[in-house]
Amino acid sequence: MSPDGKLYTFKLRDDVTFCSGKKLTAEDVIFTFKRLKSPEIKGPFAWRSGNIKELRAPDPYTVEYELNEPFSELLLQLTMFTNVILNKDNVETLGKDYGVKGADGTGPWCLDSWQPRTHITLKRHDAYRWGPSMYKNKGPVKFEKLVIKIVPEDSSRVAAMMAGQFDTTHQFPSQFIAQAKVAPMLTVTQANPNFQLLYFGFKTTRPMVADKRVREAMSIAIDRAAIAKAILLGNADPAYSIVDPAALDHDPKTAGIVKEDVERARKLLDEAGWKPGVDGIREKDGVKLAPRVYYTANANSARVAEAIQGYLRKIGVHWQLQPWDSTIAPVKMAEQDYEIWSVTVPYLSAGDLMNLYFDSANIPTPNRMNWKDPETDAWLKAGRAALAAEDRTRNYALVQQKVMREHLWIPVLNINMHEVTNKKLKGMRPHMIYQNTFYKGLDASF
Amino acid sequence: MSVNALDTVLAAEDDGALSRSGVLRRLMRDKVAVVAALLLTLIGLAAIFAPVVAPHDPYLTDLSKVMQPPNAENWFGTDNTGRDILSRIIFGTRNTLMLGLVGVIIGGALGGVLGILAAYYPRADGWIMRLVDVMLAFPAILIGLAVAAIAGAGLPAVVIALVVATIPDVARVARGAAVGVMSQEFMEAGRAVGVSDGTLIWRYLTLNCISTIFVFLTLRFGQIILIGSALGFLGMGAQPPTAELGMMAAQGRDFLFMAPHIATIPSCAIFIIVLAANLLGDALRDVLDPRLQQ
Amino acid sequence: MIKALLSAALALGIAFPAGAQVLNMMKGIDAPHYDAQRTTWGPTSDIVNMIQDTLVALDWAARRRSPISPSRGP
Repeated sequence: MSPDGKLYTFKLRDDVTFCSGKKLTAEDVIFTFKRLKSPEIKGPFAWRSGNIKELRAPDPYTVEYELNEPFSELLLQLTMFTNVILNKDNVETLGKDYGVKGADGTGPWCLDSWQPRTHITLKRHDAYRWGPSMYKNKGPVKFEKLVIKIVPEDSSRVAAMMAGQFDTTHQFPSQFIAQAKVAPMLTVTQANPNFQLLYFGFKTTRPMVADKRVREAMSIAIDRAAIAKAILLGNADPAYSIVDPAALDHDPKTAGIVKEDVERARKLLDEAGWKPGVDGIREKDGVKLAPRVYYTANANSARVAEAIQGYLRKIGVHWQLQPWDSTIAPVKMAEQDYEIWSVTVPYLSAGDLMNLYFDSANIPTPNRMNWKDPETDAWLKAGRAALAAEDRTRNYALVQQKVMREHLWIPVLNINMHEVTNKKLKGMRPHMIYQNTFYKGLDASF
Repeated sequence: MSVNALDTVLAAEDDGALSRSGVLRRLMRDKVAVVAALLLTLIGLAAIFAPVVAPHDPYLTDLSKVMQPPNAENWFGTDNTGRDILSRIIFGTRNTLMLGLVGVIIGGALGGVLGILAAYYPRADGWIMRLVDVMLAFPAILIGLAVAAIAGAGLPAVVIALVVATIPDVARVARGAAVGVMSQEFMEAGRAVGVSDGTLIWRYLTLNCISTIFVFLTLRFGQIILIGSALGFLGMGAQPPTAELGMMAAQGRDFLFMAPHIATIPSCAIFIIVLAANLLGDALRDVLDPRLQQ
Repeated sequence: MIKALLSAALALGIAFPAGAQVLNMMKGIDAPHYDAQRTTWGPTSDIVNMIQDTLVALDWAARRRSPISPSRGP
């Protein structure tokens, strides 16, 4: 990295090949990021690769990655799957069918066949020797094939694992983890650390939740530890801050801002002018304190929302729950006619989470709060541009304190991630990145 | 004068098919029907007086006592948020029955009107019955899912699905009955003396078909409740904290290994209601259908 | 003859299941496509991480590691 934080020089290994046999060169890297930034692709996660000015290849194994402005999290963000390196020839040959009819890569597995919604077959990439340093096995993988079956029904996946039909899954329903742990043929491993926040966010432009006292009341009237234990059956930890304490740039000063206290919650609502009505639900100017809550059906959010609804009933708040099918939820959540929504978001660091959600440039989605605050924007910008780690940490700490004191979100749980495997499978260690606990699976063997 | 004479004929017809005391007497002879009727009455009363009957607040969550098996305080145990299952079953039955009733009444009314109009206006017959065929081609659950996906899950989605599920069959039955009545001489006579279409359709046609439609609807009621519960099970119906039997069964499904009572109790409740409704419907048909009375 | 060969092959297939060399995995939901650049979707990302590499990798503790670009080690 250059002193001004704008130029990164990547030296590539010269022995890396794609599944097709082609050698990986700087040309592919440059093509990849140009495609990501191109108007035809409109990559929703393109921001993760920074504000690129120019990409150059002084020789076939060197990439000069020049930014318009420094981006303190570039190297962290480049670990995300949206920044994987593509094979230029493969993408150009397949055109619109890229990602459907094929997808060449330098990974330990090669895409062999895909039956949408049925199964995906991967085969071993024999030449693979460049596994990330934390894997003992640098490659190739110890299996000839990896067959991935799609089994949508939660309980079917549980039954299939119990019956030994499959060796591993990274999508074992959390409510059955307890059974899996005691099942003699299964091993459950948990990613640690792991940042995956289940939160409820407030649309601050909606009158009902515009008052931060109302937001705080809802946040402190619940018992997170009880929810983690009873609803998630222990497969989650209570979250009292939006950024997990183990995550990069977490601000320890945010501890204590969310302090569960039902009496104080009632007092805050009284102060805000919401008085108990005849049916026990609070009212103000003839309006009932009954916010609409959107979330995706059949997810942890649904169960947690119901538990919170139970708690809030006791302080005179009625949550009108509105689940949406997963195919339609993103569209509905982009609209403006609801007060609260819930999402479970995996993230890499404080900066990763907050730049995405709290920057006013990201209104209306994912900044569904419609949070438009010059201070927040300025701190986020300073954090992104920071050349020294301390500067980045300090600015991100300011953002955390502000958005938490404003109670823009109800942080509820940090959801654990598990890999459930058959006992005969060895060497599995779950990774936390973006719910991909299997990650590369290099060390796995029977 | 001649109109009055026709009315007498009509009344006689009515008596023949639906002589109240006769029906009741014959029903009483069917022991299964009596049990089913008693059961439904009991369930209905509990549902109507749910707030009085239910031992606990059906919405009160308590995370310190989740998934408790049946015990002295909670006869049917507690669910995964610590709510009393018995109280939720009582309130859930109320919602489930209401859904079935609303579906059957609206669907029955619309279907009946369509069927009778089809029989009365031969020119509209083809159009109406094709429409009915189209409706018949869509499974009710699919319609419920589609409505819920677009407008959001909730009771309206289920009501629409149930109405759509009821209309086509009722329309066919009503049309069949009405066509039979149309061939009766008093219809011909009524037309001849210049009785208006409206009067003919309502007083002559509809009143003569209504018992058939009614019997059919009682038969249908069990199925409609089953569809409603299925939609609730799929998460398309009532939303928490509202209790609805299908939804309750679905919520318990996740805990089938740990706490089987959460799913099995509401499922049994659905089973009993549907069975009772079907048995009573069958018995009613046996009693009312003249063709089976030999 | 062909039939006999086929059944022999089938018997062999049963006698030596491919299991020893095949890893069977399950996931709950498929993706509409596996073009990593055009999505934010989790169900795309797991497969993409298996078949493709990033310039920088993330280790167990969310620190950076380098798979295909050794110049950027931790």
